[in-house]
Parts: sequence; structure tokens; C-alpha cells
Amino acid sequence: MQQQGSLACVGLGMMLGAHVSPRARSHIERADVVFALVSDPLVELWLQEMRADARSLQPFYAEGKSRPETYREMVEAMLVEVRLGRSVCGVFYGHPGVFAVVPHRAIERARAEGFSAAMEPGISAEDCLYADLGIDPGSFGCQHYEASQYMFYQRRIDPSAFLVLWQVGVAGDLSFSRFTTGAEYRRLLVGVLAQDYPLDHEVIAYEAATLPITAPRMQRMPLSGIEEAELGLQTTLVIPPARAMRRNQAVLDRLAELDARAAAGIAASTVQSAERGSRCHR
Amino acid sequence: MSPIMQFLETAGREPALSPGGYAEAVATLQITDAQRQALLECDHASLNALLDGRARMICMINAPLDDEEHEPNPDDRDGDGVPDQDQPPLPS
Repeated sequence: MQQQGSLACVGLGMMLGAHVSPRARSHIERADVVFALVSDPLVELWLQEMRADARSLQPFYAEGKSRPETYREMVEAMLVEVRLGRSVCGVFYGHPGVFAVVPHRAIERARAEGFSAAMEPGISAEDCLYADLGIDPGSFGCQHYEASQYMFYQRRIDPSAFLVLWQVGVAGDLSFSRFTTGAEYRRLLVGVLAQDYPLDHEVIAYEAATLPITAPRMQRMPLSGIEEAELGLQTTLVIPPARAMRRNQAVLDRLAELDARAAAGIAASTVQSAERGSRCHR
Repeated sequence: MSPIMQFLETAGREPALSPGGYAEAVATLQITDAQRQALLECDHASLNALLDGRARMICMINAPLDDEEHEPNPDDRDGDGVPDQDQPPLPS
């Protein structure tokens, strides 16, 4: 049986005032309780002017504290209010479902406990980078990985497609408790990337604009340059293709065979139809 | 909503302001001189300090692993449940 409390995790988009959808705004304005996790302090202040009682999730973070623990606490804070029968809105920067474990887990948990829960999409940093950098993920394909996950596991990267690494500022943090990792960790990341990309390959440190009066960061540098570059929590590393796409000739040949067979079949059935037609006229 | 937040929200919704129009719009706001200067200089940090915003925002809500139950075993980096003794070392 559906219980009374509910949860809506909504995306605020990246830029203050620019990206919030009417549905997200409606959830924010109507919810009994609003929790917020945004990426810019002015965006948080703006949200607090919309809802003076909005509760920031920022205090759950602490340097040295395990992030999985932080995320569990954030989920639980929202769920406590849902269980009290309240309509709860979790407001998250960007898209609440993109590289965001907290909203996914909160919705999953709420539903498992019999509550109504939904997600409202928002404009993510990924959306902004396509617009700002003029990248179409459909032109060569686009791979997205969380930077540490990319380092921890053996992934098959296609260097003829774009590669986007998220949370690159904490790349390689095995403790899941730091707010930054240093040059030595980045050097290791460069070493992993160098298996597929030359060290002088141009990469882009990207940060979406969060205010309408500021510009996005789109800093180009050689791959080797990321070791010493300023890469924050909000920085995404964009790696353009390093080589041309290679034709899969075996598959192309098979497809040509199929086309030829289909064409021959059509021709044969046309001849048979014509013969049947001529017999009918006799 | 405060005039400065109302202004930022409107600027977010309506990107067509020319540089001259922007300065003109800022000039009409009922805000402090320091806030006006920060807006004119598009100075995010100063504006934040003047409005008492948080000094530091953490913007990570993703984990490299979906669940701490799956935190990486140092001997099983590919997560297949089998120690990876035969894997080549990571590049140094």
C-alpha cells in the first residue's frame, strides 16, 4: 500500500535562474520540506530566498569523512521526513540523476519502503559542456567515466571517441574522504590515459558557468599538463578524439552481402510477379 | 526575493542584455555600492562574500563505486571477485 510521504528529487540545472524547469520549481515551492545540495554558494542563497526553510546538505560533508557515509546520511535525512508523512523535495545541482548517487539511492529507498518517489531532470554540466565546447556526442561517440573509477578498473577506452572524466579533482582517492588529490595522483591518471593518448594531446578542463554574469571555464592544455593544473571538485576533463574512427571492414562487407542478397531477392520476386501477370493475360 | 537575487534570476532567464544595458540595469538596483561594484565587475567571489554565502561548496554526490559493500579490494581491482595476481601493474 502506498504510504503518505513522498519524495521528489529535482534538478536545478547549473546556472542560477537559467535552468530551473517549471516542474522543478513547482516541487520546490510546494514541498513540505526542501533539502538542497548545489554547487555554488550564490545558487544556494537564491534557493533559500525561494524557500527560506530549505535545509542545505552541505554540513554533511567533512574533509577526512568517508563520502559513502556522507551520502548515506544525506539519504537518511531525506527519508526521515518522508517517513513522517511529508512531501519532501531534494534539490540538486545539474541533473539529479547524472553522476549523482544520492538522489538515485534516496528514490530507490523511498520506493522500497512504499512511498511515492520521482525524479525531475535538470540541465547537467554534461549538457552545458556540449553547448559551450561545441561537442556533439553523436559525431564520434562520447564515453563518460568517474575519474577514480576509470583508474580503479580496467576499462576499454576508444580514443576515436570523446572521453569525459568526472570528479577529476579527486581522481585516485581510494579513501573516498578527500576534497582534492595532488599531482602524484594526476601523474598516475596521466599514465593510465597515456596508454591511449599521446602526452601532448590537447585536453580541456571544463567548468560550467553557475551565474549568468560569469563565463564557463574551458582551459585547453596538453594531457601532461593536468598534473599541475588547477582541477577542482567542479572540474570535468574533456578529452577529444586522438585518432580517426577505423572502418569495420568485415561488418561492412557482411552488410554489403546482405544488401546484395536482398536486392537479388527483390529482382527475382519482380520477375516472378511479371511472369504470373503475363500468364493471367493469356 | 532580494533585489540582487531577483536581478541574477532575471539575468539568468533573459540573456539578451548588452554590456551597456547590463550596467544600466545594475545602476537601478537598490543595493549597496559594494554589491553594485561586484556585479559590474562580475566578481563572483566578492559578491559571495558580501552576501554571506558559504566560503566552500562541495559538489560531489557520486562515488566511484555504487555501494561501500563494493569498495575495491586491493587484490581485486577489476571487481570480479578474484584476486588479480596476474594483472600487469599500473603505469608509474
